[in-house]
Amino acid sequence: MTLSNSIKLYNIKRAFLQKLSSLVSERKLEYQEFAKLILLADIIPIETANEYLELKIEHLESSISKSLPDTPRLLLTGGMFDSYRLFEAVPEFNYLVADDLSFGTRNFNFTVPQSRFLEGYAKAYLERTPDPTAFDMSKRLNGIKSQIKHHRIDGVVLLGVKWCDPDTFEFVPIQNALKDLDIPYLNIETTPDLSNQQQIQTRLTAFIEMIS
Amino acid sequence: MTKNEKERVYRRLESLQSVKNQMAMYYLQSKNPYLHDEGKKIAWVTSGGPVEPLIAMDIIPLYPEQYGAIAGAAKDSTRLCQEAEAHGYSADLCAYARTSLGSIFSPEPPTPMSEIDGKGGLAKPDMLICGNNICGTVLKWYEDVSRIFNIPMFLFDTPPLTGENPPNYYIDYVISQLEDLIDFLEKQMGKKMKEDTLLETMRNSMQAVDLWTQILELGKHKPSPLNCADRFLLMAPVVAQRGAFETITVYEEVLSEVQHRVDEGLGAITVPEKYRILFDNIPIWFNLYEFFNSLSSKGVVFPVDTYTQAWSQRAQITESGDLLRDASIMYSNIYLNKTLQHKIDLISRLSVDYECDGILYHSMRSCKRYSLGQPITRREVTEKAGKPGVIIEGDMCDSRNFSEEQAWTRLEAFLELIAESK
Repeated sequence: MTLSNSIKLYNIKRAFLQKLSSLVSERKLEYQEFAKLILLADIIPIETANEYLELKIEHLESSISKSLPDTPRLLLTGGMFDSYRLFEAVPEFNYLVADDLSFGTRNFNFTVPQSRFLEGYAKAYLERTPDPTAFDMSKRLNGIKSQIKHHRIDGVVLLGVKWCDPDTFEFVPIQNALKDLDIPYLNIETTPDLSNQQQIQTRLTAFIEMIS
Repeated sequence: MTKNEKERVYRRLESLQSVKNQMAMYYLQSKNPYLHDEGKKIAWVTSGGPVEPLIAMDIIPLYPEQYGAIAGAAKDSTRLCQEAEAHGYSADLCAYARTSLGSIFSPEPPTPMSEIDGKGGLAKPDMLICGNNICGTVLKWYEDVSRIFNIPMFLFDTPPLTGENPPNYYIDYVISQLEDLIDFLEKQMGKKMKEDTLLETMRNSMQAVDLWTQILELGKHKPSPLNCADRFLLMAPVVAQRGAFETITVYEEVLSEVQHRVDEGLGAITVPEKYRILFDNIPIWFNLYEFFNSLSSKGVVFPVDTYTQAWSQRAQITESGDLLRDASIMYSNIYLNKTLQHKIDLISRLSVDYECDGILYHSMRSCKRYSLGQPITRREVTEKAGKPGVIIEGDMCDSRNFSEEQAWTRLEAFLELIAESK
């Protein structure tokens, strides 16, 4: 496969994921399933992933909407968290209509230009919403604010992985920004083995009740 | 072994007072109310950040990490960590960062020199210089400080070094970082950097680093003239005042006294030296004297450690005018900016050169960069250099992460193992 063709295929994948993300926001797709699709598309061959994502979009657009939770609308923000088992085990995560995770929206909300190859590639990665490890989080903060407005967010869940310094450091400025916007938020920390899953569910339920 | 050993078994280093005096003057100058009128400014700097351009531009560099050590030794750091946590910071974050942030929020932070300065905490910074050659956490920490004080921050970016000799493209990139730093400093100070002044500051810095290296190398003698606690206290000027002429004077005095100990056969501890151990990582500041003194009473001495070695690199300053190239190599070639293999090789070499019987690895819950890979390092060093090792868990500033009883149990077993193998 040529580099040009590879860039094209991954741009298609990112576009499909963006579309699926909008279906999550429209409540036509559960976040739990969306998280699994993102991970699946990362581990199977790109051509197969694109075929599958396209079929999924067609199916969702042609089918009658499921009865997904109507309110409140939550945004999930965090770093390198990819354990979909948490979303599977805690049904309250289906109140999510958008995310700001390293392996989530931040990983597909950009396009690589096909004309300038490596320069275009580098520029696309430098200009996309940065992960917590990068310098200057103002672009990430602006991205969160924009998502709150675009997806009509009622509350934000900050999900940190314990012992990840860059991840949890950014929580404080995010919390301050949310206070300024008068958006309620819930700060939760977990471990890679999800040892506090039950506690997360209890706190998330209480948070949803509080903002409902 | 009794952990609360009261009898002092270490030899007091007289020149330590000169170090303390120099640091007192340094901190006093940073609190000078007329500092700005005199054309000076304050910068908070990470421990691996380039300090010489700052000193050459009349900027007083202050080190929040050093402040963490001071607050820790004063047994006040845990309170400051809790203060930071009350402001939303995770209890698992770097304890130096939490101590520093806690001091900003606390109405009563400890002061570096309480006997001469009633005001708490470090002097408020005018700018921040953050070097990521020691870890990535400092980047997020300094970004927060920048927001809190609403002051500019410069990121001095040094990508991780995978080999011993950085390739030219790497050096060129770091040189560009130094050039950007000088531009930043000139903008902040409203004046141009004088190359002669920078060169002189670099020369002073390298002379201080040379003296520091000579002091450390005297630890190879038996009995060792210095113990860990000595070095951890003596290191303050080479961290914070590299480039200042006073550091040379003070280190010449220290070197003379340590050399005298070697000549007279005087060890750092006053009991016979039974075990020579290499210490890896930052010390447990809030338990510094108790920890090392209790071990000293059993004849344990630490002739070398990896932490104070970090300030013994030197660049070859030449008259060729390639100052920035030498500086870029020096600031990239940092222990924590290199591979795990480098760490294994260094500990193996030091443990042999200093004739150590084993290695004590301090695994710090809150400093991931320094502690990551210690079980692998222990295994590899034992295989490579034949030196056994023990890992104890603790922290540099957060006493809640240190179980003294558990540490002593492991250490006693380790010393028994060494005694049996002798």
